[in-house]
Amino acid sequence: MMRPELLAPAGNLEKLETAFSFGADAVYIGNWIFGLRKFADNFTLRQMEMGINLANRLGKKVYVVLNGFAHDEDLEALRPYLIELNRIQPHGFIISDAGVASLSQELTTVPLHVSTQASVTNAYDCAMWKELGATRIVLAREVTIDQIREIKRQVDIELEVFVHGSMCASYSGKCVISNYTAARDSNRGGCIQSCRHTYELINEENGETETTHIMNAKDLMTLNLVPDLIDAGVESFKIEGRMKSPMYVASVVTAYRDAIESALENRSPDANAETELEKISNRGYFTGGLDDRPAGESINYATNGHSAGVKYLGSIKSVNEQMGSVILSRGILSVGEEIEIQSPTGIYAYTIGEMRDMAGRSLEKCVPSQMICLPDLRNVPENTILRKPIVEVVTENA
Amino acid sequence: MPKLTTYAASAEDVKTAIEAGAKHLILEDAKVSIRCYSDDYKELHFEKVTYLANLAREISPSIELSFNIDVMAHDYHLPTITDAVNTCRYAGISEFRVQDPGLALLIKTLHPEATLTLATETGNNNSGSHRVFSRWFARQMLGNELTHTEIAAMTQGNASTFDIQVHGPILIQYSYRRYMSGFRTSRGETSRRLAQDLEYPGRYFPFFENPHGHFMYLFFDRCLIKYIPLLTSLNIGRWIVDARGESLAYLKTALQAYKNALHEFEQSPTQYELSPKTISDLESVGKRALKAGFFLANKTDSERRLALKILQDTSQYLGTIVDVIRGKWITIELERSISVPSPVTLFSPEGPQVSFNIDSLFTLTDEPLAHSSHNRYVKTAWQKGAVPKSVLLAQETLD
Repeated sequence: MMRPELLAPAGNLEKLETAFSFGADAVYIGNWIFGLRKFADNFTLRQMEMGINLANRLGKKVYVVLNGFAHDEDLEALRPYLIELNRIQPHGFIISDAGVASLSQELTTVPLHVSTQASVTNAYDCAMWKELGATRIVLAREVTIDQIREIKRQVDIELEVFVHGSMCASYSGKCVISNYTAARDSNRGGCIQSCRHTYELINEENGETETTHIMNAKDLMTLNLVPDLIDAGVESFKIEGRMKSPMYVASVVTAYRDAIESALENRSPDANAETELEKISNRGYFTGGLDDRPAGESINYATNGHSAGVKYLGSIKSVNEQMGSVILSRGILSVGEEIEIQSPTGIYAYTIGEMRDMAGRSLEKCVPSQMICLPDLRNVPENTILRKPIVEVVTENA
Repeated sequence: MPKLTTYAASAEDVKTAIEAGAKHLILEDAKVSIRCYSDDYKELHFEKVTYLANLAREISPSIELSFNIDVMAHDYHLPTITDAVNTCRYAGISEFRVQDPGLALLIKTLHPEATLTLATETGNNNSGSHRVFSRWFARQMLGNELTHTEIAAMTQGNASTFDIQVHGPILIQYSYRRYMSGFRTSRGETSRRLAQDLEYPGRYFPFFENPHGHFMYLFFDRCLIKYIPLLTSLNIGRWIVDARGESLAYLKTALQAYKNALHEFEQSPTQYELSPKTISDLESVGKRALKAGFFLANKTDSERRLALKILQDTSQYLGTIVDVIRGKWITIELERSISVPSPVTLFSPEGPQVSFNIDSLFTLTDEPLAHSSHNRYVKTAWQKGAVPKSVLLAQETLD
């Protein structure tokens, strides 16, 4: 069996390092320019270069996302950016727009991967993009495993498939709701996720009304389909979520790394993996369009909130003799509190014994976004995750 | 002179459209025309298309005909598409309109003389993309998100090979999932509702669902009747009046309005004035407000784009503040090397912009630094206005 690539999201350098530490083979990253996550975490060119250098040292890969739908003004802005990107040589561009693809081919030698935003659903689309120079297609999330097999049979091109994470309710890219309702371009980084809103449905024939989250797609989770996807010839297993936390990256990469290795070694996967994925924030899971056309069970009509069983508290930024572990907190930590340490080797219980701030003062408690150190936490690698079990809660979005 | 164009899926559509002034009909069959409102699913083949083509030619021998195959093609669609193309070929229809660009390869295999129009619904909004797709497509549909200035710049010299929607409902989302039938399993193959987004009350979005999936339309209809001189100056080859899902009166009134306006403008461009009755006639047959959408201007994300321009100059980006101890320290996640002293500008996510000098640097373990070297995290003296996630830019361009 061919060993597929496990491709993780990286919204910033910290998440890139986390992804690699926990077993990802590759990451995809974006810049402020022309990704679909324009206003969230992003990389500067310098950070991209650092990430690419790190990947090269580790024998891993970094793909750069350029998957907005361009207008002519964007193409002009992209020219100098593409030239800079060509200098730092990422391992691929993820592009949905034919004009951007053409420009990248003209100005760079970086391989072209076609984004899921292009909604490629059949072998003819793959053949057309191959003719335009693409080496890999990220298939539309509506394509089933049987259809993937057929595409693979007909076209010699690498296939990448989303295996985990949030889903667009529509065919990706076939939505401009935000453009008209919020003056934000859905396909140039401005999607406001109108599909998560509450809608009142009105039957004009009889006046009946119903209120529901009619388009609120559940999250994709395909641990059980990993053997079939490998068998179908998928080269890259993609995890969604550049805006999600390092804990999400660590947990999802760990689960799918194990699922892939188990399938390749023909052994049972970690029985606890699905439980771990249930613990990280999610909207309820389903298998996407991979086994069959998604129907009512793919929508969370009742709520647009998330459920979670653990809370992310921060990541270890550095470890040294004098300070112990240095952590950028993402939650409230208190001395005496029992938390969990999530490292690439497993999840361990830990009780906070002592805590200091960056001025060396002793703390009883820290606040979110505070740099702290835990002097007695030493034998852990950088990018280890601190988290806390919580009673499963459903948080309704505003 | 632009050709008035519309969709037709029934004999009534064909008759009404031609009588009202359509010069080009895009024939539809719901099996492969995904936004078609006729119920063609029980018919195994495409005899209806042959019938509609013959009828159209009988009424108007000069009518131009094409056929719409705008399904996002999965494997199981391919035999049906093949059947449709073969039927059209025998019916003398050699122009096809597709949303899924790859279908060009299939259709050209089945019908080498076919000419193709690409109508992607979203995207394909730049001249580079148009240039790429012109390898396979003789015509392309201009996106509804394009302004007239963008269109003028993009179509210079070949505007006649483009189509534009001048009137009708605007599709804003297409999903393979059938949300409404999933919500209430008793609902049939097709259903329609009005949907009010409770975060934007007062806006009513038409929802339409059929075996192909779910379609969401905007709360207003596109209407460019007020801009006939501007539209005409763009020299676009086809003007599309889209009345799918609307009444025959809507189809007839809209086509006649554009036909008459175009005629009057061409008779006397300098004297042309749109009659208020034309607008009221159009309003009387529709259910939604009539607006130009993005045709006049598209300021989507303009303010945020402006703010980003500052950050896009990454040659000045030093790092991000990750921790602040008021009166003592700020901790910086440093991307670039700096030496002290360094003049910097801080951009706070809360708004303020502050310029100051970094006069001292320390490691996390409080060792002084003259130069940041390879330290990713450094500390410096507290600065008023600094909050976590503030961005630091050098006041001089870095190496």
